[in-house]
Amino acid sequence: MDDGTNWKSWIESHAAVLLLYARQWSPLQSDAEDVLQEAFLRFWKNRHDAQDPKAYMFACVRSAGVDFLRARRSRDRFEQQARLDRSNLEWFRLSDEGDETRIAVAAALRRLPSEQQETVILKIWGNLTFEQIGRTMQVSPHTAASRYRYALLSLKKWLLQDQLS
Amino acid sequence: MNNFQTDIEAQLRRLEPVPPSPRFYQMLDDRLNEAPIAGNRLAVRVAEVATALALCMVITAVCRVPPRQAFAPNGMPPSGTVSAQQLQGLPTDLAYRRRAATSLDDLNGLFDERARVSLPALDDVAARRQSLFDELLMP
Repeated sequence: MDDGTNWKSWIESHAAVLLLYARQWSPLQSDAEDVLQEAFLRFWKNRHDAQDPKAYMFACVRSAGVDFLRARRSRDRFEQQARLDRSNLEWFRLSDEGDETRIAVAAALRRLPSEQQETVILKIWGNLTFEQIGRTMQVSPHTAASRYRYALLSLKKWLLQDQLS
Repeated sequence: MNNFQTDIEAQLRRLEPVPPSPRFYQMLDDRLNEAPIAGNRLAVRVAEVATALALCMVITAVCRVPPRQAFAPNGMPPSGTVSAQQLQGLPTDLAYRRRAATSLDDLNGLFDERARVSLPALDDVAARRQSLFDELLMP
């Protein structure tokens, strides 16, 4: 990663989960890509100072996402909401086989409160420890672990309700 | 860890996040190639700030007013400096009190006496000033 030319291989290995994380603040793929782009430029410039580059990259995405949301909120909140509904299930690749369960899981994930959603994404797809999640989200590792537990409980409950109905 | 947790985690892990589009990589490539230009811009900005700072320092140095020198008649120390010899020659506090107790005229007399001793005659100062003006006005 120290070599300035191999940024592409680094971003390619993390891009999908970083994009998923960016979608917490900018649900549309094109917007999320813009956020990720800003975040990666910040990260790449300061990567040598980062003690934990992976956690730092996620923190950069978070910061760029918050900036994006702040800029957008005042401008086109209603338009954003309308577009959000259309792009509901584009966060994950869905194949034909077994899609119903996956769609249900993806939809349940979207129902979680944002901080729990973030925690699950960082834990499941980012493979971060609770300590790293805490650093990224600026909370204690204990809080991160609690949010994760609550998120899984909610997901379980909603998926069971879904199956029964 | 509970079974339900591992079960839910397994279901979540089966979901594969959508990767960024080729447009993203292209745009990122473009912007990273712009980075040296951004670096040059920063260097230019730093140079501008340094120049402005240097200019401010030069202006400050040029416009700085020299410290005002204390005016003192010839033969006298500048105001604010009193030698021990002069202090010894001054009337005591008691002398002033005694004159004041006698009368106000006596006290004034003592002041006049001190002024005559410690300052040169007014005529001398006035004459010196006049000669200085004359010299300046002469073509």
